[in-house]
Amino acid sequence: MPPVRRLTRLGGPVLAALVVASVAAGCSSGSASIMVADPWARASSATAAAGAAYLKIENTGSAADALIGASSPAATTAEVHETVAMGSPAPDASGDGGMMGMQPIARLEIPAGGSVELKPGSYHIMLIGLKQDLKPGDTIEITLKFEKVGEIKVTATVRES
Amino acid sequence: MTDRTPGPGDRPSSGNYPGLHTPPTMAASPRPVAPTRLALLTALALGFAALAGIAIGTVAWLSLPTPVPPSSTAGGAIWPVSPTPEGLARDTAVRPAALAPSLRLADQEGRPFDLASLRGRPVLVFFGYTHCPDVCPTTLADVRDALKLIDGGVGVVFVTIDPARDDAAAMKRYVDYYQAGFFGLTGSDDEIRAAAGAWGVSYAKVETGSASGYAMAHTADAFLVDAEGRLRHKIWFGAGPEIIAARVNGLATEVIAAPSPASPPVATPTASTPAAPTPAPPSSGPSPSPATAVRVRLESTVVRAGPNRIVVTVSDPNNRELAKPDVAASFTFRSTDDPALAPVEVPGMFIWVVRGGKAAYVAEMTLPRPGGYDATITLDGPAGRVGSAGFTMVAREQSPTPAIGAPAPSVRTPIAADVGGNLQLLSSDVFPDPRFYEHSVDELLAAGRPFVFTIYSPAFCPTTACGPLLRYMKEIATEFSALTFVHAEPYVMRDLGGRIQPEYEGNGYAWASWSQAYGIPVEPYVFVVGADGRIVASFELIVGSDEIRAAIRTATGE
Repeated sequence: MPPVRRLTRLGGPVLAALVVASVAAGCSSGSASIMVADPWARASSATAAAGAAYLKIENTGSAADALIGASSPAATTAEVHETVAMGSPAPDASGDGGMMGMQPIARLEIPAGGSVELKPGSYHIMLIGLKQDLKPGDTIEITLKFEKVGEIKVTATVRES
Repeated sequence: MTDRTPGPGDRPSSGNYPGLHTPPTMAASPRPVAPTRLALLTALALGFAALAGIAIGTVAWLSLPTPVPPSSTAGGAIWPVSPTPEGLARDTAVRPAALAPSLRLADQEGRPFDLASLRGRPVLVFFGYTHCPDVCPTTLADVRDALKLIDGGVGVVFVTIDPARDDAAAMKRYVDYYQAGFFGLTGSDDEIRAAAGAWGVSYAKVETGSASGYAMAHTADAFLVDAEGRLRHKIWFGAGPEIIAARVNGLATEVIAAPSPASPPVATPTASTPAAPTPAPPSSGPSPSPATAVRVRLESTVVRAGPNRIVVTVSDPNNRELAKPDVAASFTFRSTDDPALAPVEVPGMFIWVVRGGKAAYVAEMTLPRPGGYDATITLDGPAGRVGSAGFTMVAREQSPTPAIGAPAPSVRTPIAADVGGNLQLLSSDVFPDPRFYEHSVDELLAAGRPFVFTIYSPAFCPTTACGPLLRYMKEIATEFSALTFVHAEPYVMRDLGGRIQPEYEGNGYAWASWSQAYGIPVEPYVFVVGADGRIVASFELIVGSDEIRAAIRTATGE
């Protein structure tokens, strides 16, 4: 089902779009209610092989939901990826000495009452085939696809870091 | 020192919940929490849940201006953690400080490049590839931002580990975008392999099925070479611009790690020690990996000399996490600072993080000294050897959290009476358990009662280790009804008209006074405290229910 509520608003010098969607799951397990906060994309040249966007997702509902895809008019393809420590020698406390790798995430669960942050060095939306330079201050649209609440469109600000 | 000494965290915590002592705006709702409170609580919670769809939208509107953090000088991201004193103090020194490995490749203009030509100024060297969307841009942006905080010139050298796709033109497009003057190096397959090997950099091609083609896994540390050409620091990925700048700015004044491996980490100043001419490889170079049918990831952030509990997660080569209770693990830890020490060997314990879903292995051991350790986990299932994998870790002399056996810091934690029984103002749990908010930590210590103290934010926990911890804690509290359980949000919370959200400090959430008193660097944390007021057990990030049960039995002398 499409989102029941959809809100966006600009806040202050940084564009702080916050979008809310909630939907009843249709069974006794409660409902998912998804909030998306502070989407941003890293400044990048269109000639770069890939860009990245980050945001925070909060599920204030009582049923789990999951991010299952993304798209953006600014890129040919958008995929949800996770940067992970992998291989050997494996990392110490925070990746020291280990390899950092990347894997596509087909389904990123947002637990009921929980939140997941897409941030540098962790989950991110990989923008493949950029159609334009991402210049600081620009905004790009990103559509997030959730299993339960459906699609949520957010406006991400381009920043250098 | 057997008694608890009042610490800075002993003060009442009124300042921590700015909205806490104003009458709750939802005061019309039933607020006394009666002894037979479960039914009432459930009714409250269900009512809350029913309203959630609407109420959350309203709160979201109200809260919009607050999440914008203060702008930082380095223009950091909105959500990342700002550098903690602990991060700044983290040991990144390379021991011994020997000449850096040579680095002779071609730069982005196709000209020959030799690292030695940059002598006379510090140089930051790191490896990556241009199809990298997250890690490499983060490092390049961090380095670029660090330069603004550094006095004097610094060479910046980015070396590709993906020469098949990264020719000189690709490197030029990539590094020039960040800052003119950065070097982007490439070479033949063999040249890159040799260079990476000399620097202790591992890399591997990973077919991910992504539309962007294959990905490269690679060592993402930044290497800091001083003006004399010595490799001085290896800075972990994600350290951020402030820490990179601090290491560069500190080169001139810090004591250079002595070349004698027998020296303790804090070497006596031998200021005139010349650069050791031995062309030693980086101290934690490419250690040959054991059979790696599995991958291991160290989840714990606190490793210390002495008694330890560390948690690792294990996955297969396709990064599917291993969650099989019938696969047994054993661990070996070898000190790299004193290889003569006998290795520590312990069995691992399987724990569920999410029952039937996510799992982890716990090792409990005593590490004989601080410093580096090479660790190995070996996994055996009913059908034989599953695999083994190595990892490295650094044991600190002291940990930021109280050690096992140390007195638990006496802090005032918020209780239901502080908020007229409106538990939604104390906890971001959708179903707060009233038993967790009846007594403050300082009260329990003063009364000599054993307790379990959970510091966790179910709604705002920022790591992937967050699970249904409080749900399990409620089950445990029911089993051990004689014991007291305390839960507190880790952050300073702000009341937004009946719902709470963390306050910001710098670029992250602001730690509450009790989190600071207990020195926790991450959440969740669970402390089990005995009747004598001393820490019986502490659990970081990933906690198994049975581990908590065992610690409780110890604390209560069962």
